[in-house]
Amino acid sequence: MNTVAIYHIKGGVGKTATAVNLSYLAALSGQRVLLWDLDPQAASSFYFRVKPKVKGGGQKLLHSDAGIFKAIRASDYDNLDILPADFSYRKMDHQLENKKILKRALEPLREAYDLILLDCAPNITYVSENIFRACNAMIIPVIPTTLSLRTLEQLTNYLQTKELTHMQLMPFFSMVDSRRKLHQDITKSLPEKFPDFLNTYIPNASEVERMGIMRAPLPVFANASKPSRAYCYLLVEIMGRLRKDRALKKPD
Amino acid sequence: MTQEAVIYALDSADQLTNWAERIAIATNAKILSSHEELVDITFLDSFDWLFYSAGVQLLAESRSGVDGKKILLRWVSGGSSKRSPAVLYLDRLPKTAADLPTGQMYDCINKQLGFRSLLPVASVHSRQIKLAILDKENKTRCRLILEHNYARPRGHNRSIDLGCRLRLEALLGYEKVFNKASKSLGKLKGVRRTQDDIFKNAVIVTGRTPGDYSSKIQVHLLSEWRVDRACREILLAQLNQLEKNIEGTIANTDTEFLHDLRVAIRRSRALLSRMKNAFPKSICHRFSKELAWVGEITTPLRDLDVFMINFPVNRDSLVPELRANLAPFYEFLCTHHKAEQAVLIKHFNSRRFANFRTKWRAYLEKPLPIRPRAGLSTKPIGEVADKRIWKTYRRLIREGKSITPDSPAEDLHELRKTCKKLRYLLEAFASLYSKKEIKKIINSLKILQENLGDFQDLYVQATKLRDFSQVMSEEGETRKEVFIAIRALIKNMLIKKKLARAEFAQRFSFFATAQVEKEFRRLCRRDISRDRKDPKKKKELKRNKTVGLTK
Ligand SMILES: Nc1ncnc2c1ncn2[C@@H]1O[C@H](COP(=O)(O)OP(=O)(O)OP(=O)(O)O)[C@@H](O)[C@H]1O
Ligand SMILES: [Mg+2]
Repeated sequence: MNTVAIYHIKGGVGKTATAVNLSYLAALSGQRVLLWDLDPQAASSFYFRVKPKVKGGGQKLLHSDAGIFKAIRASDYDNLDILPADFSYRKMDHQLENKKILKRALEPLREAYDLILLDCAPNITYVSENIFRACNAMIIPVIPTTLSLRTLEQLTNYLQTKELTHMQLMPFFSMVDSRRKLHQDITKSLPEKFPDFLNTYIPNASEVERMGIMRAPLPVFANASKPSRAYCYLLVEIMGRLRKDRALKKPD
Repeated sequence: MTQEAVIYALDSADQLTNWAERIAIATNAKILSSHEELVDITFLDSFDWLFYSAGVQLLAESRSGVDGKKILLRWVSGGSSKRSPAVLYLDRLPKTAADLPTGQMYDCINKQLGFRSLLPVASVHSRQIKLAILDKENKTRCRLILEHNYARPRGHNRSIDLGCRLRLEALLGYEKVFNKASKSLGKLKGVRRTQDDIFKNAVIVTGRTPGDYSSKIQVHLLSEWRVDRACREILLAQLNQLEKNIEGTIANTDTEFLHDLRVAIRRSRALLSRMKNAFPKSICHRFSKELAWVGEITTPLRDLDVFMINFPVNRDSLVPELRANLAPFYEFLCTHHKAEQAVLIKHFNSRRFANFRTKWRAYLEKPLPIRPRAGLSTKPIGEVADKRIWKTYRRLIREGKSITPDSPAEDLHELRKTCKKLRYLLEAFASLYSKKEIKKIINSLKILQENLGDFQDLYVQATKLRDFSQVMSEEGETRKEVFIAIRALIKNMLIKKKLARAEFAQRFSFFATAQVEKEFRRLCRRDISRDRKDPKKKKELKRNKTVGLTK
């Protein structure tokens, strides 16, 4: 099982859009997928029309095996389940002072899923500390601006100092406007500094915004659109990296 | 995740669209498609029903969808859906596990199938209307699928009506909605829950029945039966198995048809040789010869099959630089496989083969002679089977004990033969014994058999490989690197053979224990200490020897 967080310190970079589309596409490709909407704003839950409510709140989820299964909802799509957000996640920080609670909470799901995606809220908190320890890879959407380099560096430095190096980092460019010179320049220069950058980027496109109106993953209503295809390529690239990582780690 | 599904049978008298409306009202569901959708469902299984026996159904649904034909592969098992693989979208019907992308579906299918291929065992033509119970946010909370199914027998264009059904599917986290819907449906007229599944009916119209073939011996004997009757039953079952595998061997859908066909031959030969005195000499002689001939004509193709099956493993046993150099060898295997296949088909179509089958069957189905001449014929099978198994076991132990690290390969070869004979006897007469005891004994025998098999197979394969490389060079292959790679392969095989040889003593000591002896003794109702001391018994033993009960 792969546990992959979609994370960035910054807000509004396309984390949720990525989480929704990737989870849908991974399910379509034959993986059993769970998307956990960890952001109390509940955007992922909204896109999948799942009521953002967990009986007993986050507390129950994190501390009982049965609790986590009871909270899971089938999405409208084959192979894809949702663990919805809950208002109580705001207080999750207090429940997660131990950094390994989330990892332990996910353990009973190991049999049931091939891929668990975590749609995270921005910022570095106890929750994110827990997320770092629970996942084996992190997908980081980056908008190509001058500031983005700095925040990305901040994030990687932070992970280094905390010795959180077990994760595969997979930054990629999100909301790219190829007409803008600045975007062009940065998409070229940044990967030189960060060789882990994925080759695929997601263009800035109005179809992505329409997800909020359609309340469905992009491929469901705009299968042939550019961003939808970009998400397909992104998934293929990510799965390739995860497999490679597996193969490298196997011997020991 | 779909949790569970309940099936309801519906009165077919009414149209599907009318049913849709009625059910929508009763359950507060929304009709998702105003027209009927056409879905072709193909049930996949192996020739020997590996999925059916494991309680699994493998369905491929193809829909005339918007973006061309797409196949949806579904694994339906009685067990928890938590372990079931995810549904998979494919472009084509898979023929083997190798046609699937890596993932859980591949793992599950591969584990079940082994070398077998997937066959379409039944096909159903389904007209469907989908309904869903939605919430305020238009989220689906329960699915209802109305279907009118028709089975399509192979080669016929008339379909057989399997009736209308409703499938109610629970969705994870929304079980309450499902329970409420199933309550409402229970009150609806013309609707009743059913356990019938369309699979069996759809298979039956093709002329087969689920589970109608297994390579295991499925003969049920009674211990008081005459020996000749029991043996004929077993041999007849083997002839049936042989014949059932001819079509598949010719079509070459997978290697197991030929394999099972040869198993039937070997079992028959082993039985004839261990039960000589149950049949007239002339019969024994004649059909042993014919059975040996069928074994012979199928050997070249089986040898090639084995090499082709093992090719990936063999190739990967080489250092990476050499692997690509084996490609011409694989081509060689393919070409010769084709040629040998053609030769075998000719044999299968020959007068001799047809004669053998009809004459052998005629003999086996003939009424039993009232006063047969063959000495053993009228003895009760239970007693004889006990003795035979016991004797063969004793012989195996004797032969095994005489093997030293310096014994020649031939001795091990002989031992393997005895091992196989014992195995066939145990399997053939299994129905006379307690299932548990037989299984236990066969399992301990397997440990030894595997080792001897490895040793012998590697030895034979290395020899074969030498022959092949000779033929390749005669056929004009000149590239040095190809022969270097083959030689490396031979070397690997010989190393593995050595390892197997070194392991023999240990494996044999696992088998030649007091515990296993006790198990055999119990199985064969023997008390060996008494046998040896009791002079009367000793005499009987001697007498048996003279009439040829033992070799
Ligand atoms: N490729 C894109 N093109 C155009 N708009 C996009 C694209 N990706 C995301 N958006 C829009 O940008 C907004 C923010 O996206 P999203 O919610 O995915 O970001 P986020 O990182 O999850 O934000 P938050 O930090 O608030 O959770 C949304 O309105 C979304 O529709
Ligand atoms: Mg978000």
